[in-house]
Amino acid sequence: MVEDATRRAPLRVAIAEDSGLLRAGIARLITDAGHRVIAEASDGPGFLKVIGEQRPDVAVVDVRMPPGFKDEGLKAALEARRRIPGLPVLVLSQYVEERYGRELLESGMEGTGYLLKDRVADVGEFVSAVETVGSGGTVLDPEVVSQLLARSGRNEGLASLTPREGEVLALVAEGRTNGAIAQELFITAGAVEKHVKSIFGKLGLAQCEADHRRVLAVLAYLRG
Amino acid sequence: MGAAHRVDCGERRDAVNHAEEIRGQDGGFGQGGGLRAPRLVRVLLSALFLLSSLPFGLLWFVVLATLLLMGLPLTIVWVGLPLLALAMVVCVYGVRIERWRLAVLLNVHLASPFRPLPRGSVLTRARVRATDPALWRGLLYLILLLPIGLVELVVVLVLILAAFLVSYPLWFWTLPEGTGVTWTGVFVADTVPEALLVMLIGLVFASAAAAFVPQVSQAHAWLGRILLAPRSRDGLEERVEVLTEGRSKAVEAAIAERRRIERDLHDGAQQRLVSLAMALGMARQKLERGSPGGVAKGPETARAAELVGEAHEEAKLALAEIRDLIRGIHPAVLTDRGLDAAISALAGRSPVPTSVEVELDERPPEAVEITAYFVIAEALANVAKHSGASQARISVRRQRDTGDGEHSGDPLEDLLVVEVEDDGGGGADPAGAGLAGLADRVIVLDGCLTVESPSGGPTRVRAEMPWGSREGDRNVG
Repeated sequence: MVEDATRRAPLRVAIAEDSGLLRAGIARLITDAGHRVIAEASDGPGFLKVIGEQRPDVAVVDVRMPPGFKDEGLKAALEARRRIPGLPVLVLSQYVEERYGRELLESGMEGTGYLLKDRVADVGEFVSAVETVGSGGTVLDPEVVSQLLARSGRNEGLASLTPREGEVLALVAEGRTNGAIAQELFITAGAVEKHVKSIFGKLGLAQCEADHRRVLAVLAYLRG
Repeated sequence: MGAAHRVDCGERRDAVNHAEEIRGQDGGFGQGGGLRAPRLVRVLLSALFLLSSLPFGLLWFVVLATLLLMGLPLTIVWVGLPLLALAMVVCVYGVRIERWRLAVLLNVHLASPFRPLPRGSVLTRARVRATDPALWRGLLYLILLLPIGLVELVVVLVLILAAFLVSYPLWFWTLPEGTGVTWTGVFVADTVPEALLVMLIGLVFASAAAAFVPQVSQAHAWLGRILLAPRSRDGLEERVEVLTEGRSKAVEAAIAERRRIERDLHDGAQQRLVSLAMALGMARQKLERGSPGGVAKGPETARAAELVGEAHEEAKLALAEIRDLIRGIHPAVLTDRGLDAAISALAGRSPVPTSVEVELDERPPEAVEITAYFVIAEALANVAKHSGASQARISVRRQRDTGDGEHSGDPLEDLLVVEVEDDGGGGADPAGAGLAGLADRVIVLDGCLTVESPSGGPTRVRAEMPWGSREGDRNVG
């Protein structure tokens, strides 16, 4: 997957992260994968300024930034989305929070990512997440998905799924492709396809072929 | 094991009341300090006490009346204020001297009734002193001492008269002819039998007075206890107030400290670990893909790739561990987003499917919020580890005090009620380290923790904590 992605056109990436150490690390990772880091910022206003000057293909934003070290990054990301509709944003956070996820998805579901900051340690997956978001896809942290599942108002529908279907649903909601899900669960891509069909049937969702359309359908369902 | 365990909130409240009663009993200072001195000494000391009341009473009355009568009208032109302040000082020293007189002569030891003065300007100290009820009680005593002293003087005079009569036979013969104790001016006791009769009458007086003088002294001491000593109840309430304040300060300090540690770990070790894991991940990728020059991988390179891969996995594990550690110290999501969000995160991570219901119209005080969070975290950890449950339910709500419940009358009795219930096998041990530690944290906030876990299940952990406002309004950002 990573190999495939690097062959695409390089993405122009903006990074907003207050820790210099991590900012440099993420920039190195992205550059190394063949993309370009066009702007770096260490706080919300700085981020809004740089994306105003140079529109990036995707922005990687840390939630906790100065001055308040609370959700300045998220606010900045939402503001950036308001100024540049459809701007792909991958938000990194020390903790994932269902409502942050909801707010982010409400500002536009395409080109949206929300990951625990620690996930950058899985460099391959992180880079592919940046690429997925950059190309209009959706990537959600497994923890966000499990929280969405725990707080979903659609309990009856979810209860009708088999445990395996539940696992597949969670992976679909994270934005994984059939191939990635098959690898993760050690089953064939055909089996994944069968599960997905069954899930969509049980939840009463329209079947769709494209991966990111499928994610959106599931997330819309979970958001009730 | 397995039996239902309840800690009733009512029991604990009763225990507190009981402790208060016990303290109330030893509040009467010096009551038990019996006068073990021989009876005669006791009578003489009492007499000396009663005798000294009048001069002191006169002194306090004159000084205080002068200062107050001059000071009060002059307050309009500010000159009066120093006079009133001086009256206050006289009053404080008067009370001290009176306590000393009671201690030395009657062996009645009274603690100082005055509130400790705070550090600060003279003005603040004067304000604290002037609003101290002990000052006004002391003033009342010092003013009353004059009339009381007059009455007491009469009592002592009876004793002196009795002494005079008892000793009459010893000295009546020194009197000139025709003088001596007389009866209606006609009868003069000037013979030995007559003098002995006078002595007899004197003895009657003396024994009456000897019984009476200590009684009057004790009555005076009783007045002193009321007006010169700290009121036992007042002192206790104040003490409880001080202790409560100290306790909530300690709780706040502990929270602040944990938040600081969380921040330090997040900004320091965690960032470095992320950075390290990232670098190792990149190195691993490069080694696995092979060297850029297209040279075949040697056995050494393969071994290096393996080691770097291991190091990367270790770094990721360390990262996961430090994240759990930080969450256990102080969950940032709680501070930033409140109980609802933090509990969603807990439920989302729980391996047992968990539903969440949170009904809160505003955020509880920080200490209550954090304790509620840790109760739920521990209860969920137990559900996952021991219960064998297939489902769990968390509910958090504010129970309003409508005024007709058992806790009515107390303004701070809205409760935060937290419940964690599972459908597992029960048999949880409420004395287990985790739950017992939590019970302590809840009790510090005047709350109570109940664990019901009959064998066969289900298990229900319930914490009730007063919503309170003692910690002051939290600064929600």
